[in-house]
Amino acid sequence: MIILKGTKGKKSNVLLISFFIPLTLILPLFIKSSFFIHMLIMSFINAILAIGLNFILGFIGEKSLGHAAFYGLGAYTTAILSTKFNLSDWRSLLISLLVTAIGALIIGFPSLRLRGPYFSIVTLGFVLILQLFISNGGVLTGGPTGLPGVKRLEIYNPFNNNVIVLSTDISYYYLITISFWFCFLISILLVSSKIGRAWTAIRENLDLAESIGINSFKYKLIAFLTGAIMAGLAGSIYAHYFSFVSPKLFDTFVNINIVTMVIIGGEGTILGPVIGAFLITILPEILRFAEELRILIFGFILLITIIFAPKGIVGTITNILIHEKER
Amino acid sequence: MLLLLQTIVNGIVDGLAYSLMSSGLTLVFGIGRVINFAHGELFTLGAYIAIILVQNHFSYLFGSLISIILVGFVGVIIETLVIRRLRRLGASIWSPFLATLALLNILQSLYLIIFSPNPYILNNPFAYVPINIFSITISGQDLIILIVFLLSICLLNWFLKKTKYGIAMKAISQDREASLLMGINIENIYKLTWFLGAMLSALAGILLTPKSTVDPYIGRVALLKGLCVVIIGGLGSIEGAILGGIFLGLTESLASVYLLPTFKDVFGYLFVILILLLKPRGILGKSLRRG
Amino acid sequence: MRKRGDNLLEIRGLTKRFGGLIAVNNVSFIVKEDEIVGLIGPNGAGKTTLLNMITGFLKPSSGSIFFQGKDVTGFSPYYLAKLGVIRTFQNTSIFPNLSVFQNIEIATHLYKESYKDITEILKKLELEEYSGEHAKSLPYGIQRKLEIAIALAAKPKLLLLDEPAAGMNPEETLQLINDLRRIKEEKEFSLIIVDHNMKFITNICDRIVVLHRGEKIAEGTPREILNTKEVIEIYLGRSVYSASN
Repeated sequence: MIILKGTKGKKSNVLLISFFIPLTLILPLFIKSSFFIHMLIMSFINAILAIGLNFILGFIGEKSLGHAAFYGLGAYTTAILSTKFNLSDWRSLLISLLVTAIGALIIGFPSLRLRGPYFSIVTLGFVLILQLFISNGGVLTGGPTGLPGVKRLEIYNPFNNNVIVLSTDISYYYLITISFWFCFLISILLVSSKIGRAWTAIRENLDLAESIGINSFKYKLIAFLTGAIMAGLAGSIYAHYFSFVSPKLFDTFVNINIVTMVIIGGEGTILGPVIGAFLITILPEILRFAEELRILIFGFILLITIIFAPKGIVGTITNILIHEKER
Repeated sequence: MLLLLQTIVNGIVDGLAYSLMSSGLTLVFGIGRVINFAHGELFTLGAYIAIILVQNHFSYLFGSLISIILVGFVGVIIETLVIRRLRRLGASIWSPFLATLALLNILQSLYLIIFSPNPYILNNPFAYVPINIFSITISGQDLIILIVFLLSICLLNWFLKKTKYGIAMKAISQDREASLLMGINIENIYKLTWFLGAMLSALAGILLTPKSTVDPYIGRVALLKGLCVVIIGGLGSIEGAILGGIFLGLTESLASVYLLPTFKDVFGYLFVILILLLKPRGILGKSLRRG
Repeated sequence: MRKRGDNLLEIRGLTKRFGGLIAVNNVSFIVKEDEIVGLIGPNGAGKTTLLNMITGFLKPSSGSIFFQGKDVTGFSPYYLAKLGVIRTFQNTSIFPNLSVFQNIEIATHLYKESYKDITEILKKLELEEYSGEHAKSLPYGIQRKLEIAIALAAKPKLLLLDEPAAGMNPEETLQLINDLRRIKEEKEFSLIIVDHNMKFITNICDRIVVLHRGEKIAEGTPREILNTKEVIEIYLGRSVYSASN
């Protein structure tokens, strides 16, 4: 189970992944419930968000409270390009990612020099400012009620010079699943690389890391930027899938939700955010919680996790396994 | 000219409200070194408890006093059950704030469940009486806020400087280890800090809500404004909270009249970002030294 | 570019002010290649502030720092580390939740590390038996050795040790001196040791710089320093001095 801690790849990891990838791809053949497909799509979207946030929150250790800013930026850029400029293909996707990246640089440069609660507060400030601007953006952004009518994603098929429009839910399932695996593999690559080690060093002891040549700002920026772009990707796909975006995407609750996913699942692990995302997306539906009860229960779970199991689900299990091995 | 004067007065009045909102926050940080993200929910709790008591035929004054004390105890509970545990676990001084974030969610959803999103009103007979001074108008509640706030600051000041506990609090805020060596019972002082801090948050909630309504979401505003003020003025400094609050209030008031009213809130966040870039400790703040 | 005869480190008129307080006042000295220089002075003399400035953790209020002939005043810590300026910290500074091996592995960040490099350092500092243990559960003395191992792994040209003998009994201090001597035999680098333990410093350093209240009041070989009037005055009556000799 080394994949859980993100150390160098082993045969068991490759086996694990090569089992799960095709599993998720053939899943739709067995599931007829469109509700469940929707649940899976949202789970994968959240998983991408959680993986992205985990870089800065779990590996670097700085608790960003503004991750939803990039989700919203990606979603809104796609939405605006689609509704106002009639652009709904790979170009609008690329532009959305670009806008998100630029946003990450703008937010990152001032805030990444700060540490601890100061960093959290500033990132929170940024996402709230963004929400304000979107709400007051008039016709361009659709204002506080949101922007409907986002067109479906178009994929250019070079073989017959035709355009495929992704219009079914299943097509979005495949899109998001492939995107998820892409992000997941990137996270494995990053974490097991020199970059990942630098991140760990920064989290464990920033001054010491600096003193042996690690440019903490550069590595923080890499974590922040990568996470942001992933969030932007998730946002873009969401916009095409849901056909509707609103300022609620930037909401404080969304931010805290993503943070909760990462922490409950296990910050600083590779699998943790994924598990956390699936749990928080699917569990309330299975147990049929009302909206407010949902937040209450997850608030409690987050609190209990922080106090009693700060390493999250994956982290705690890994610890137990390691202690078993050492016996 | 009159408009300018009225705008300034409004700004100062709002600013004092902001200062009041942030005094609890800054006290807990200055001494306990924790940014209490649930501060806004304690603010709301103060208002809700007062409303319940008033609805049950307690007087506004009496109901407010009881509410403040009750919320104070809630603060102590938070410190004892949550914050202290995290301290013991050796969590970094920066991690309890995530726990308070969880508390924010818990409390806010509790309010939604118990009180529903419908607005309540906390009123007292004096609140809406307009007071005219040289043709500048403030409301009766503004005057109450001014008086109570000044009283509280004086009381707090006296407490911090003249009483045994207050001096201990100051000592801990400056040097925790040295305080331990001098035999100060840190655990009790932390409890006291949270008691006072929560009380101040609740007081703000009770005083400020007659100007509008009470619903589960007002805590957000209190938290956000509180954070802005506290960072502008400097975390851990009561004087900073006052200056920061007035500064923010004035800026917002002037901006909303002479610029765009819709972006009033942006200024708070923008200043926060600016200040943290230039002077990471705020105008009068304490450092976040490790340990 | 480096010219012949350049000193490894040259400090000119370095000053640091904190508001009204002058922590370091116009300090200048030189460190040559392959030297061990001691920086000594009572607590509050400004030693750590000076060290922080040299290693980029503090920006000087005025003055300049030259490393291998290049002006590095105000450079960031990581950049100085790249140039070969490595330091340890006063408080035990390790990566607590990583193993000893991983601690040293991270220190090889700046270059392409090999398993051999890491095991070499483990051997040199007699840490092999602790290789897999979590750094935070090590005994204090071993932790301090790990600190030095981490610094060594970063291939320093100039290594600055901040109070390496703090909290050590005379036995451990002797071992530290032997360790340092052994390491210096094999690798060529200069060492600046900051400490207030006279006996330790005079036993290992080639040259000593004495600070008092932020100013340099003496500089010379251990023998010269021990016989300097000002130094004797400062240390008279303090246990650190009575222990030496």
